[in-house]
Amino acid sequence: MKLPTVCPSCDHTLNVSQMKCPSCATQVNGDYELPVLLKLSRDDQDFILNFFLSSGSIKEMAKQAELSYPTMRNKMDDLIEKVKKLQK
Amino acid sequence: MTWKTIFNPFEKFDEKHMLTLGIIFFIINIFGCFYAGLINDSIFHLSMPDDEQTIWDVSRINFLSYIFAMIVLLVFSKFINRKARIIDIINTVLVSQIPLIIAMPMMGLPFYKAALSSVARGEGNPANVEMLDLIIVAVGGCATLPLLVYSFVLYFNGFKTATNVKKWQHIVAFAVTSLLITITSQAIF
Repeated sequence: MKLPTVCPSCDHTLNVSQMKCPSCATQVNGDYELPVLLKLSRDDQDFILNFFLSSGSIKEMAKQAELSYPTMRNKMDDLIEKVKKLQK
Repeated sequence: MTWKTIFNPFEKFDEKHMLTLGIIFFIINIFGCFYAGLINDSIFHLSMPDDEQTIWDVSRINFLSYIFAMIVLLVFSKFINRKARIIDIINTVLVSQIPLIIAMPMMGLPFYKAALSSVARGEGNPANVEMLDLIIVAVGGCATLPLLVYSFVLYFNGFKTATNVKKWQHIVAFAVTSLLITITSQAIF
């Protein structure tokens, strides 16, 4: 199931209010902020995962996605900007 | 191949393939200019020199005007994005000229050249221009216009891909720089 990260009503980033152990059903309640990377869209998270799995090679990622190197580097730069904004 | 790829091949194709294609067309352009009696004294501009040019003269002027555009664009691109690479700028200049190189054979046709000269001579005195010459030049202009527009589209998209330019101020500065490149290049070469 896809983890919703944005409020469907006002588009604000959602917080975590409950976590549950799938083994013993222990529940933890609170108001936890999502880590920065989880605040990103699914596509952006997949992009970062691919980057990690390609040993941090944009060239390799570009090859896999059948895109040129500058296009992939531009996507990476846009994502860096997005993460920097979320960190503020 | 989608429309997006046709208008921005820089987004998809490998830079080495683009560079090879650009160099092949650059060489074809030298022979095309020599055949048509033209020189590429700046990117997006062909001029008809009065005196006869050797193939070496054409090669030298074409080469220098391209190199000049590449150097200025590279310096400008570094201001916008320090990660911009030289190969992407070279490809932008080389590949964007391909549509105009395709239009070159038409400009070498003897009757077209004669019509062009006739219209040029009649500058300031339109009554002396033959109607047929005017029609030939107008039809030729209309035929090359889509290729010129496509050439500009490739030029902008190539630069956009190379630098990831987004701000409108940078886009305006790019347009002004490009204009200055063509004017300066024509004055120098």
